[in-house]
Amino acid sequence: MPAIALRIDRSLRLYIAGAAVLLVVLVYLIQAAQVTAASYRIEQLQSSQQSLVAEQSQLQYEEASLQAPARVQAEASRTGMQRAAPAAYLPSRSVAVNLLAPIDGVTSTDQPFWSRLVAAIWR
Amino acid sequence: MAVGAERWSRPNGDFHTAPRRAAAAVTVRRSGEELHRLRVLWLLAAAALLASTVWTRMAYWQISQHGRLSAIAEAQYSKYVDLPSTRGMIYDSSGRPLAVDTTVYDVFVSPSQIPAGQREALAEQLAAALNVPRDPLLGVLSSGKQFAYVAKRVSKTIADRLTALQLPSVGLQPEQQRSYLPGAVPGTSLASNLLGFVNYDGQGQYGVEGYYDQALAGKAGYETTYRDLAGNEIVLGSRTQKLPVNGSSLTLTLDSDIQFAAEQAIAGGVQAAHAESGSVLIMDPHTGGIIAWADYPGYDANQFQSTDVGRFQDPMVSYLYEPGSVMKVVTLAGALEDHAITPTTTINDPGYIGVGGYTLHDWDLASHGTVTMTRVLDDSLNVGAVRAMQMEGSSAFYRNLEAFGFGKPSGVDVLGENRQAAGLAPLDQWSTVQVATTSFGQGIAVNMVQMLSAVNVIANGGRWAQPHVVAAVGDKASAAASVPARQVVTTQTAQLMTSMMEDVVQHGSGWKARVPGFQNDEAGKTGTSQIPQNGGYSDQVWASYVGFLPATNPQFTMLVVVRKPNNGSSDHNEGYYVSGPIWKEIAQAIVVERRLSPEAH
Repeated sequence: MPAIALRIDRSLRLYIAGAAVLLVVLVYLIQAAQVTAASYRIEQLQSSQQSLVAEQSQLQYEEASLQAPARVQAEASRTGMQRAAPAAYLPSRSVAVNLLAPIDGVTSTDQPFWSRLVAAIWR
Repeated sequence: MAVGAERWSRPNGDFHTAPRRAAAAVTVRRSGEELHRLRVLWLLAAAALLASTVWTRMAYWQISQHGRLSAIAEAQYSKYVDLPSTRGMIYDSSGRPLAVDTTVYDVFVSPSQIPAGQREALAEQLAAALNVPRDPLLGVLSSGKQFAYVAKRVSKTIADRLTALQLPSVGLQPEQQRSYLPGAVPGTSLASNLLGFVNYDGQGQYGVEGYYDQALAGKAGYETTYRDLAGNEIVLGSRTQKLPVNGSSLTLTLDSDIQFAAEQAIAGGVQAAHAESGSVLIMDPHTGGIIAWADYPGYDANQFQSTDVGRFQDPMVSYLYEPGSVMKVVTLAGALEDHAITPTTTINDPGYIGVGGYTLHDWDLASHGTVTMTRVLDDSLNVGAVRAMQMEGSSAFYRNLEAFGFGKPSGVDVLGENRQAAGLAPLDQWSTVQVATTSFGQGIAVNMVQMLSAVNVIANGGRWAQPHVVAAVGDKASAAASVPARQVVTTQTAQLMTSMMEDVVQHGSGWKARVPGFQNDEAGKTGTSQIPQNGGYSDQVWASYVGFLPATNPQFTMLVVVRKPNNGSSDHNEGYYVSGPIWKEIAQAIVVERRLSPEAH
């Protein structure tokens, strides 16, 4: 009996060891497969990113072209707009005006301040 | 019968013969085991021999050939990929893009992999997608080559269309292409001569693209990745990688709107004058930043591959010209600075003057009598300029030329400045008459940037500002923009000279450049110079006009040069007639664009 038990015990250990090895191999394979799958996914995303970057640069150029003076002028002409006439300025002449001079020829020292204030209100 | 024989012949029962027979059986058995053992040994030996052969062979491949095989395997599943850097963009002063990198695609096929029966249908589909004739495509598809391009640099829209069709044996290869905005003249791009272009190898050529190529290009990187049999990258595999460093973007001092107006005006002016070509240069008086840099004819930088190479040379910096009477601004400013003259100093001008055995004439060959220096500038009198130079002295005159920036290249940050020709020969190598003619702008060769920078000294209160196009590289100020201004003449001299230049517009030859409303606040000077030919001078001229506005608080300095105008009469080929109106047209556009108003006088 002990001999049989010993043999069973040894076989069991062998099976368990085999199963453990198998498990490790399976885990490794699953991980490797997942890594490869993730790798492909990353490559797809990179490719997609490149495409989006290309599209972005294309849009950037289109935006710049739409704002370009040549385009603005072409659109303006197409819609019947005309260039504004240059601003006309009239040459000015100096006028001798004393902005500090009192109104109505009354000097500020003739009347007290409160009197001028009242006069300004009732005028 | 012998006893022995009997014993031997009797089987069983004889106790004498049994042990012998047993011994014989053992002997036989032993010899059988021996044989068996020998066989096993032979088998083992054979197996060992075979195994050792295999092991030897394995050792040969695994150890001796390891390096070579590893390299072959590495080459099969690993791939070295260049990681290009992104080229920096170029913006104008308002932040609007002038040059953008876009992705385009080269379309290729593998003709050898296309069955004969599918070629026609494939050619039809490709021709429709690429909008090209079918027959040349069919020729390529039938060539039997391993690889052939069917289209280069197609847009992303076309590439997307081809991808959607999923055509067999057709592939797309992405490339970067520099794209530029359309210019004012059909078939040109905006500021083409200033910007230059980027060739198919990604190298900046001419202009700003050439000058700042290193900063714009950045540094390319690389990576070594692993790929499966289908060529898909195993991103998470081991890899070596050096990331690229993208190029810096440039912010120019250029104003797109004013550039456009300048291109339109110079194109119209050159065509109207039946001239060979023309250029306009506009500068910020205080910083030296270039606001517009327009040439006619220009070219389309997007189509550089089909453009005549001669067009790439920029007339502003690559070509030298004799500035003519525009130089009188420098001559008189120098004489004012040295107190040799004042605006009211008078001279007698009989219409000619003898110098070094030569007789130099005024442009109209007429006598003008007693004239002030203001009048000399108003009417652009050569005799007056020579007299001012003589009063100042040739050494002082030469020193002033150097101070105004004529002794060395302008240093503008655009590729192609003619550096050898942009210097001055030592004064002792100059003849007396050459010094005299230089005072009115003949016999001296300068480029437009040098000339405008010199006149800009007057607009900038007597300070010479470094001309530059690029304000910032990335977020740092460019080296050219950081050069401090240097005082050339005093503020008082600059003010006196400004008044004299205002008088040119109000009472002199600059009347065709008067901007309505700014008549009393505009400074200018005309210039006409004959073009040298075969050791003498031809009848053809450079017609120019330089000025700044408003005179009291200058917001821009502008130089217009038209080459070889052909208006029929020599008078109508003069700078006042040809270049003055162009200057005025552009100045009016700037007045509107920058909302400038004149100062009250």
